[in-house]
Amino acid sequence: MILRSLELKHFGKFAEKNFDFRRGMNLVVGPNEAGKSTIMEAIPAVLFGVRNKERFKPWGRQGSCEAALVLEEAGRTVRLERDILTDRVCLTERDDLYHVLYQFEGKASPQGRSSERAEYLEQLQRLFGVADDDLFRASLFFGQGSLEVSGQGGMSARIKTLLSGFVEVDYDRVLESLAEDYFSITRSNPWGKDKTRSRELEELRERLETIEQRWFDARGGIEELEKVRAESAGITTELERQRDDYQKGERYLAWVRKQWQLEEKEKSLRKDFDRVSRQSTKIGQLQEERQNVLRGIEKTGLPADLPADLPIILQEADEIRREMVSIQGETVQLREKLLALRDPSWRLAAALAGLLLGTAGALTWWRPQWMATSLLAGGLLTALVCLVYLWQAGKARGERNRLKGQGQILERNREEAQARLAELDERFAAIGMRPSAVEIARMQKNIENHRVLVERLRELDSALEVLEESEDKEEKEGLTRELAVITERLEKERPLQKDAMLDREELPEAEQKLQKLGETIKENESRLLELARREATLQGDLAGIEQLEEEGERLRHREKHLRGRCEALRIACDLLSSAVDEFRQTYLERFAGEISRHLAMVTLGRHETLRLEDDFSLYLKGRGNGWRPVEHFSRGTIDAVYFAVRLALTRQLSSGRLLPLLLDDPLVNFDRGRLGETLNILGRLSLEHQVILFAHDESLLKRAARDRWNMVVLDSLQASMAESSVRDENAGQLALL
Amino acid sequence: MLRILHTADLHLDAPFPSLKGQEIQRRADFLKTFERLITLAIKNEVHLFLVAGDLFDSPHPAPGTLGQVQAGLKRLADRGIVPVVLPGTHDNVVSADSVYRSNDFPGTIILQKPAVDDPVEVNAAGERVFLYGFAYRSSASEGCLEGMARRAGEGIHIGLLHGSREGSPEWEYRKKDLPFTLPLLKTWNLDYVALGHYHGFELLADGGRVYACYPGSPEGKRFGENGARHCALVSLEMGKATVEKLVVNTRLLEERALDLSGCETEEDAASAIAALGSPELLLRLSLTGIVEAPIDLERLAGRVRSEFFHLELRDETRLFDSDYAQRIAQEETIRGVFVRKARELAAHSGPEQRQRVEDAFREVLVRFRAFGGER
Repeated sequence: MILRSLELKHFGKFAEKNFDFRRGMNLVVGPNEAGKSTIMEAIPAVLFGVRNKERFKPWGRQGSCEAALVLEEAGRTVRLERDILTDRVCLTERDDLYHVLYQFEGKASPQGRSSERAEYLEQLQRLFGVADDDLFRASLFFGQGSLEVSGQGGMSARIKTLLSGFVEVDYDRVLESLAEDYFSITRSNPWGKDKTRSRELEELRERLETIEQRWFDARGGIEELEKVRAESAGITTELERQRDDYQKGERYLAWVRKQWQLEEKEKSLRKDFDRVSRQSTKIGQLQEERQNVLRGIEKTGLPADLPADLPIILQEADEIRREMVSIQGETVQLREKLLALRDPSWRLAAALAGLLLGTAGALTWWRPQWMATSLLAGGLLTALVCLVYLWQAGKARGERNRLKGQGQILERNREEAQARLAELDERFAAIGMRPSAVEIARMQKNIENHRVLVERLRELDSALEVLEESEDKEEKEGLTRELAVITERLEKERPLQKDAMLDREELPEAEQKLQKLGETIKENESRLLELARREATLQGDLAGIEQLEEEGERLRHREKHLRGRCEALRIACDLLSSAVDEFRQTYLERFAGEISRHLAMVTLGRHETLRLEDDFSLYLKGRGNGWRPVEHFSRGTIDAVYFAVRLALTRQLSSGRLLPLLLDDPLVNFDRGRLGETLNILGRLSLEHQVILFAHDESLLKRAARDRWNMVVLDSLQASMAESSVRDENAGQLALL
Repeated sequence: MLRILHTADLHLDAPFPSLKGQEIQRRADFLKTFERLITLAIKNEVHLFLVAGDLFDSPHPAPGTLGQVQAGLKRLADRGIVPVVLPGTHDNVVSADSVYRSNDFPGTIILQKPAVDDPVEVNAAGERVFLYGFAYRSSASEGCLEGMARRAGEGIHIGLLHGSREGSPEWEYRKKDLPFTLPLLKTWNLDYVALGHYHGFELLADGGRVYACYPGSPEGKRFGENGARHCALVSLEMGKATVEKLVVNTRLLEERALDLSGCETEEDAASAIAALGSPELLLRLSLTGIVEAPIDLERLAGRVRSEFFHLELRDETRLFDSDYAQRIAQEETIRGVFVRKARELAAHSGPEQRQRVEDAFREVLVRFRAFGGER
């Protein structure tokens, strides 16, 4: 089958243009952007339509975009027209005599599902053996650079791609991506060892298990919750009581301690108070005594501050006084003695003389006998009396004179003392005193007393100084106040019953008891906390049971979905790899034989046998009959092998039909030698297939002319001028023909 | 005549992990619906506002939500409407710090006793109204239904129950907490029983008399709670209840299927899906039909997501039976062998396995196509 002509109408840059082709080699030459690719793409576009309607729609133009193909085969012509935008297709098959054998008209879009489309594709299948855009491209199309098979395994990769039935995808990549997706869901590996890390499905199952566990726990937790609640309630009540007791106990002990403290304080205050009050009493006493002493001192008539020589003066004064007293006494004595020293009483002497004379006269008269003796004795006696009287009188005078002398001495002494007294007065005056004699005497008398008193006063003053009375007073007042407060507090807090008050010895025991209670409380509290936590956990579980169920449901749903997808991916992997295996088993050898045949043709028998491995790597017999990977051969050989593969594939895909091969400048980067070699290959290919080679290298024209190829020359004329160029071209083509 | 606005299962503060970024917005929707209920109660001058369980989705709602609910209920109470709230299975009172036990709802009657000892008596519309209801506790809920029986007392007797009616359409797929039957409910001899727990609207009537009603969730929480959502406006007169359905939902949940058979390109499919779009809609869309090219679901969803509040696409299209698959099955290529093998496997599989094989088929072809690039 060959492509006879291609008609483009408002297709891409072509306003209206026809291209005719012939059997064998066809060369379409034109500079870049002349529309070679457009022409080449127009062929599948007519056959299969395009999904992107804008692609070939002329710029800025509304309306149609059409293309038509005319294909020829022995005995029949097929004309295929397509409106690219609406996908209206018209297929007319005619025989040699131009009779219509078959005609189809309808809509056949690249996708979609309609009976029209199905019918159309069926016809394509019948006519070409290929009714799929991908497959068409995979087999007949040689894009730019498609001959550049490079690197180790490049050829086998290319073959894999071609064999997949898709243009750019090899089945390994698909398998890989399937497996990748599979293992993103689960770690379990149906084809080998499980992966270590958990994937979504495993994580989900774990979560689901956790949730289920939690759900069961929550269900089972209801009973436990009741228990926990009951225990909590018991402990709470107990705790309340205990706390109450504890507080009471604490308060009581605090109160007891406080009472004791108050009592102690009271005691100490009292002590202080006593001390202070004692002190102040003492101060009072001392002050009283001081007053007394001061009064005593005042009484002494002496100044409190005694001049230093006053005692001496007083001493002297005293001495003088005493002297004067003694003088006075002596004077008095003397005077008394003088007074007592009376002259002997003459009357007694006279009386006594008279008596004696009278007695002598009485006795003479009475006894006159005895007159002489009596008168004599009387006269004698009287004379004696007179004598005694006279002696006595003399003695009294002498005595008086002596006394008078003594008196004079005394008088002198007294005057002397007087003078000294006057002198003393002066001395008194010198010290600012003018005491009277009495005062002096008193002073003298009191001086010792005064000294004692002053001494005492000094003692008192120093004692008082130590006692600091005013501070004491303040302290005492303070103490009194404090004491009053404490007493009041004590009284206020004093227990009604005496035994309510704890004894000091009982305190440690009570404290211990309280501490124990405290510990129990703590224990209970921690237990309660534990229970509360447990309750919260249980409650949380219970409260969230609905959410758990919902999450579980969601997760189960997701799990089911994932499992389904997993399974689908596994089946996909298995199916695809088994398809690959089967393909290998069924087609590999046949395919290798086919390639070998084509290889022999394109290399003119230089290479005749080729081995195709399971992984689609190709081996050729090299020198010395050893198999070598095709990549190790020369560029030309690789190209030849590639063409052979493509041919074999095309035959395979089109069920042996000889379809045109379309090459979009695959030789663009080839050097001269390779280009020549490839052109030779193409030349040989063109014996069986129509070959349409699109190229920009005008040097090919020479060769085309030499080898009598059909030539289509595209110039760079714009689409607007296309019509005239068509004519020109037609003229050229005619000329060539 | 006593008028009641009866709702249940608001599920305020419910999590929506599948909504991802829109979760917060969705929660706000639920609060909006709550506000709408309050407004409806005021507008319809009801005397009682009954919530038959699951006002909140959990016993510990967010403080903001709680505050708004408290304010809303207070607004009712301030207008002389008595709000009555029954804790449900979600907002249960099991936990000591559950929302009803640790918060005040001024003016609101919370029926949180584990059993009905004596009905709560209130005055509404100049009548004595007796309220029967107990807070669900999974441990203590058994046998509590007996407490719902009518006690003596002149007035209207209304029950609130968060439970599952046997034989309800939801019986099969929702949880069967506190199961009861209509005959049992009838024996209680209450004037009306405000039900909750099942999320679909259901009127329990017999012989022309309405006994009870499930108002359903006022805002669809999950797919299945599709279409308009309601609350029940109940009028009670002479012991006869009449129920009016009022639409209250903020957004709409829908589950639909779309046949993509006619869509030739992804763009066609996208516009077909987008045509269903609405910013208020949460749509679960199953794509069905036989397509000629495997659908890249992620990409398709990405194209149309903005047309919906939320869109969940499910690929249930059949690629397996497409012409495309049939055509390549004839090829002498690896994919041809693959298609033939897949068909063979599917032919020998049960329905479930067949589905897997179809999925596998799609997985492979999507990849070939995705890696090949679009032309």
